[in-house]
Amino acid sequence: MIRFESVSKRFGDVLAVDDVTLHVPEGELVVLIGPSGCGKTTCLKMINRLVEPSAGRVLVNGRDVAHEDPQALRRGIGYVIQSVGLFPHLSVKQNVQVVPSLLGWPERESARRADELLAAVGLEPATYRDRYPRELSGGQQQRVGVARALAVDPPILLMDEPFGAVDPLTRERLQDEFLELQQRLRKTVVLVTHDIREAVKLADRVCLMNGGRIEQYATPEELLRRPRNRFVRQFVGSDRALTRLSRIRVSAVMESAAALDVRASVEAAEAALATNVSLYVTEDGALVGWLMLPALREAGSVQEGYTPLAPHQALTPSDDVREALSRMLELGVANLPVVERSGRLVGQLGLEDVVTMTAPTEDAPGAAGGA
Amino acid sequence: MRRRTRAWLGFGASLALLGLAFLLFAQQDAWAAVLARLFPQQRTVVFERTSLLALAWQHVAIVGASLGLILAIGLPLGVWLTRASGRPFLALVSSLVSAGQAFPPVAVLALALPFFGFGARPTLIALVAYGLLPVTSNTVAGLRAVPSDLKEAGRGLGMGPGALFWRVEVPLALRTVLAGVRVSAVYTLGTATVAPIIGAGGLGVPIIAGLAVGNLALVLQGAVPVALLAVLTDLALGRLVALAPEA
Repeated sequence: MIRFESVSKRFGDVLAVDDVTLHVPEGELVVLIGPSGCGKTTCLKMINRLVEPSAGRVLVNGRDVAHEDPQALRRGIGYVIQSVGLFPHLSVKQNVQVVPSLLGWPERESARRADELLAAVGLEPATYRDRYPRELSGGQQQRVGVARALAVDPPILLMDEPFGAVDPLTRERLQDEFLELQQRLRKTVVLVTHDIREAVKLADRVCLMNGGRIEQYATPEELLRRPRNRFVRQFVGSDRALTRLSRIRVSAVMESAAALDVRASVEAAEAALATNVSLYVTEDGALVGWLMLPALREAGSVQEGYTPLAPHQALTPSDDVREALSRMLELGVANLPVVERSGRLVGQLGLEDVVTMTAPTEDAPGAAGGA
Repeated sequence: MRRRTRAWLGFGASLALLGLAFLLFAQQDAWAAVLARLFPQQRTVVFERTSLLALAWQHVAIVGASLGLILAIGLPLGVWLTRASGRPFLALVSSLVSAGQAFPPVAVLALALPFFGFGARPTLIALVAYGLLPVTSNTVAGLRAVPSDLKEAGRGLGMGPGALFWRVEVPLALRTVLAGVRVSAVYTLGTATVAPIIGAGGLGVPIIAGLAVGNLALVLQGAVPVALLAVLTDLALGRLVALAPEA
């Protein structure tokens, strides 16, 4: 879909991009990451010709962008930058309509499309369409930026630190929402960031750059498991095992949980507790607490004997394992139940499972990374 | 936007007040009566060769023509100075334009006189030289203040130079540009009172005549309408500035 062929870019004496060859497959989300000045933003801007390469070619759909009309090229590529990129003198709706109006869409059609997109990024059109950017929070501005980039449904999206200008909490939510959107739309996305956790969370592939060159181009899993050299190892951080956990959903690794209905008889409960040290207690499938044998004997019934659980003492299937681990450490437990939004108990996650899952396999500690 | 509605109402109201001012200027006898009461010892209290209304129209015509020229020169000049081709000339043109304002208009008139003779032409030249600075410099300042990120966002979305200029740069610079026009208009209204020195008409006529013979009534007959026009024009253009989008 997007291909860099031996691309270099020189700004005066500085070689910003040095002989980069890179392929971004259709429908994938590729993150360009690296320290400041590594050439990642320059690479991004060479795709829509905001920057022209000094040497080499950039191909989009097999066609050298240098031969395309820059305006036509850019209208066909969605572009999202930090929230400063919204036009302050245009309403939310007008901002989203910029590209359609450049393409001469009739107002009715582009207004309908703007509403559709605002709804898609989670902004109620009736409430937000006539507001101005300064009347929105950072997170809302960012959503408008995404809606604007998607206005004419371009197959490619370029995103330059799209979640950089918002607080960590909002950033996390925007990332989740964007992932959800991307799973539906399957755009070819090139995203620039300097946050390794963001890269690991979002990317199908990560391209780690330094000094204008690619250090490693791999899936996040691969990058974290087998950093190719010292720089990559340093950049992904010594907590890379934890970072890797953030890619994994609880739903993917949880196991089934033994549970007992709250109306079960004492005999049935005793029988069940003969094989399990503790049991989760449910009421019509919804988790209400947990039960151990001594408490059952003392109380004389399941109803009286179980210990209720607060909502924060359970995981949801969409939590990532890193969060799950953190929750276990916080609560001082080695096991947490997993419940759906409805409250239904669907499984459990044990500390042991997490440890087994992350145990080093091929990359023995200290092994030097080879190509 | 209630703020915009208020600004439009304000603009309309100040235009109406300007209209009322002209109705007032048409009351030649009333002016004479008031000034006669204020200056009972003066035999001539109003300029008699031309009516106040005619003088006011002359004044507005001179100012309108000057302002038209100022905009016709100052706006494109300001735009050009912020384009790649004009940027090298920014310092040079800025100092030339400032020099135009550094000269007192009377001096410009005196300098223009040998080349253009008496009449409207040297007057226009002097007024244009004097009023060019605020328009040009505010156009430059307004355009330069448009954040480069926004311009790059526009380019990245596929705007060509024309679309970028009209859809992003102009709206965001408009407030500053209009503020310059406002200053220029008020300057020119006041400065045009020196026009009669080289034979052009306007509300300066009774002022100059009054000063020549020490007749304060005549001076007031010209000065009060000029002040009134300047204040009302400032009010109207101020409302117009408030209508421009906030950058």
